[in-house]
Amino acid sequence: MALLIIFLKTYIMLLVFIITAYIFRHYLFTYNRAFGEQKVSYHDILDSEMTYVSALIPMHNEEKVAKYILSALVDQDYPKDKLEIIPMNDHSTDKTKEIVEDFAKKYPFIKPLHRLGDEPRGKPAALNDALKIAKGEIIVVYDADYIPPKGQLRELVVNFSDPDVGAVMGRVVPINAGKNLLTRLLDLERAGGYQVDQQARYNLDLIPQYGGTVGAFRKSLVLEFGGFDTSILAEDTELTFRLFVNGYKVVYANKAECYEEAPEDWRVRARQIRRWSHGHNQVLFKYLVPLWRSNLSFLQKLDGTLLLFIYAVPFLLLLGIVDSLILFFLGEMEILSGFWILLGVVAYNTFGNFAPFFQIGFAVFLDGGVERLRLLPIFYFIFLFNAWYTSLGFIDAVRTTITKKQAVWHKTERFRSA
Amino acid sequence: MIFIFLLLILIPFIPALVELAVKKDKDPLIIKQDYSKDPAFFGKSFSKILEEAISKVDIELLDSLKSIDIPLSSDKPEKLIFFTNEVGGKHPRSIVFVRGQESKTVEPLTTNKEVIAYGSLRIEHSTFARSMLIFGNLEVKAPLEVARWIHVEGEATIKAPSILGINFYSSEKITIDASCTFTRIYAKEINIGWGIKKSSFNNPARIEGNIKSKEAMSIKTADRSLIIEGNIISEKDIIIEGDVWVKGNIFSHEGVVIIKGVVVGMEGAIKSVVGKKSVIMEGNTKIYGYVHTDGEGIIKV
Amino acid sequence: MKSMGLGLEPLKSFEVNKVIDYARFGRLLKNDKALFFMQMFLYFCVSFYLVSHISSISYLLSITSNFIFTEASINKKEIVDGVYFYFLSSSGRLPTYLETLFVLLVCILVLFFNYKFDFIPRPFKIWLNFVFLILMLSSVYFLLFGYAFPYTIDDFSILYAIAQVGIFTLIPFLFGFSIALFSFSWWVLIANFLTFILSLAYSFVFAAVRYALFLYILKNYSFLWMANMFFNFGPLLDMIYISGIYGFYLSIISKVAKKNLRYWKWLY
Repeated sequence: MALLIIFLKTYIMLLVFIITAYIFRHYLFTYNRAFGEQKVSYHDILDSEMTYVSALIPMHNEEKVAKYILSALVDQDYPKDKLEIIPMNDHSTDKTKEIVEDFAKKYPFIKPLHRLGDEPRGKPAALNDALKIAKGEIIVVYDADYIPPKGQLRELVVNFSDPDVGAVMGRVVPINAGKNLLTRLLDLERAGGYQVDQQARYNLDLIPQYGGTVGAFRKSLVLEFGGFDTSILAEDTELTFRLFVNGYKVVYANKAECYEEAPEDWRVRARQIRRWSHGHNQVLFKYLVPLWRSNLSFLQKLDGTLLLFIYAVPFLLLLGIVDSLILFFLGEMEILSGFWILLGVVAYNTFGNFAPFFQIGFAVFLDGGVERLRLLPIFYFIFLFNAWYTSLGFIDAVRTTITKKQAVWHKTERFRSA
Repeated sequence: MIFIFLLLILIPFIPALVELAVKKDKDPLIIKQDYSKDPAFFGKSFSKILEEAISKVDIELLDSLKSIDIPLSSDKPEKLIFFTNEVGGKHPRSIVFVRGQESKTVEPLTTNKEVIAYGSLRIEHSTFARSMLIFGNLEVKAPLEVARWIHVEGEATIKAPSILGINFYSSEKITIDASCTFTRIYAKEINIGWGIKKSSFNNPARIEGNIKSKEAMSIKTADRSLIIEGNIISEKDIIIEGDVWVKGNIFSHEGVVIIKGVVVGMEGAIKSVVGKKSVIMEGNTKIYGYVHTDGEGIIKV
Repeated sequence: MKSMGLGLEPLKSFEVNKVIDYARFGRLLKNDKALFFMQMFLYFCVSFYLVSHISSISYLLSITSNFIFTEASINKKEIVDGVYFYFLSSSGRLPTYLETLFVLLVCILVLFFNYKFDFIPRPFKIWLNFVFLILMLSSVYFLLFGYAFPYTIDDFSILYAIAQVGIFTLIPFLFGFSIALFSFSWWVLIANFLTFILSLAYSFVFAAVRYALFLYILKNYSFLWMANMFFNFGPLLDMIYISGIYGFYLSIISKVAKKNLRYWKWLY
């Protein structure tokens, strides 16, 4: 029993240490975005000789949104003789195919890829198939619910002027921000994640993340890596770590802003978080060791580790709650006998949870938000929601990693009305 | 006691609940969907606004007017004063409009607003303006200071020390043969000084592909000229001197210095020289395209 | 070339108004490093002052709560050599078999309805599940091992008071660190200071009322509720008013700053 208690208390102390690292990270990033030197992408380069680009759009039952993304890409100012658009109709059972074919008839640079029959469904598999027919050295990817502004392809692609750049990531802005409580909160979360978190990681030469949409990568590199691993649900995170481990970098282009449709339903959001967590944790299991064996700097390795663990921490926290409950009923709530340690443990609970809101608040302030900032306390209720579904995703990842079973891709439902 | 406790929990939520009910700040962040990077943005936007404002005025009446108040922005009407071929004087609060096809300054010209020339304009006396929109050629023979932007539809020649604002655009060619400061310059061909000779690149050494460095780099030629086929990118300063022809773009997160003999880009294409913190160009250099800095842009001739 | 120095107004022409909407990527807040460090120094001093007066603060907390919950007395304990910590002392009780069974049934019913029906938004549902799950565990514990429950009301009281004083002492430092970031004008410093005072004051009132309420519940409605007091309504709940005050404060300064170009700078 005594050993168990020591183990449980050690776990709590470890958890406090981990959370403290994340608190420090939130404050560091926010202060860097506020006071530090800001690094911008290569968007100031004007070049009339743009490289050939393939724009890929993964689509599974996207009839509600397909025409918007296709129209937006057709309207791009990118030279049309240097552009092909490949909508990847992935086993759709609605009118996606018809919409895509209609566009393809009108615009010869739209070259649909219809995936049917026994081919495995899911974004990584579809991307692999598309890479086989894509002619562009640079691959730009948009999810079907995105609406890029006219000049965005150029803004993303110009970053590859730097030969060390393996991928580039733009900023995601929910177009349906004001729809309901969920979309309003997601709008704030996105602001914190991009305006502060991604930008600070780019500023500090750490690990900005390629997010799989509003982004681009070099085809030759992905092919050299053997394509996307179809067993991993987060092909974006995987590519990020593959690139960094192999000596390439990811550029975060804060100026390349693009509208997305945020989930409007809590169930859909729950599935999305669970899928993200599942995929992200698969990447954690696969890349933690290679990350530390790579030639990256210590700070990059540290940031990479914190990034890899970001979807594992909620599970560790839930375990921490179970741990604390056991300690509570065993009469061992004083983790260590020292007064100061107890004081710190309890206080981190409050400020550990506040730190992300500090980051979100500052990001929304930079964006010029006013009354929406007042929604911050509502995140109190989201804390457990996120923790729960992220933890389920973690468990999914452990299961699929152990059983080597193919993970199932759950598509995010769309809400746009015509 | 429970009531007070619940009230204390509820109070921090009240502003949030009010916002959820009133939805005062619910709109998505504005992304300008038709945004496209355009070095002529300022001039084009101003032209459009000017055109719309002038279209409301009777054209025949316009020709005979000496000045007119037109609603250029939503704040208040702007005063437009007209000149024919000769322009000058202090007009701090007025937009100066020069109607003639071939116009020139006949005395120092000062305005805190824009100068618009319907044809070509020769600046022979020191001139200060917020911005300049020139539909013909621009020739600067006396010091010019522009706070914002210069948009020239024809060729621009700068022969006197000038401050060239935050954006200097010509749809044709820019020749600068005097010490100037700038932020952005765009033209199909930008000449700093007059002396680049094509013969400088006979029998050159060649570097295929891109050059990338995390450290400062210096490229200098001695006996033989050099052609670099790709881009030059560095996290630190880039210094290029001599007969070096860079066919790609030059980009530094710090500063770029190009000195005597350097050519960037090629005829018929647009390439860029970007130094985030500074760009220094010393004659004679030639750039086909665009020069940009967010910091200090200096031309030394 | 030297500027002719004609004293142009700050950028106000049409192109700038347009750029501001679309230049979030390069937007930076002006700040004054001296004012920032001055604020941090001030908040650090307050934090240090509070830490060095833990005894007095715990006493103040205890008498305030005692004023609300009169069925307790003020007691003290030496926590560090020569440093006494004041807390409220009272007697609590174990739950009866019947009330434990009743609470257990209610928990099962709530959890069942929560599982079966979907009319409550999911985050609130999960939160409710969490609250009732802990209550259910507590009920099961008291049904099986209630006799061995390891805490007295005084144990809980000391832990609560220590936690709360911890939050008081950290507010100036950590919350101050969050708001000191804004140093672009003198009026912001005043707003920062007022926000800081408000958060401390709110924290104190909230802590005192909660302290009194918790002891009242433990005394009159048994220890069955103690687990939830730790895990759901403990320090985690303090996050609500801290983020609420922070969000409200930000919305006010953002409203003013948004309209004033002089508080901002751009990367280009």
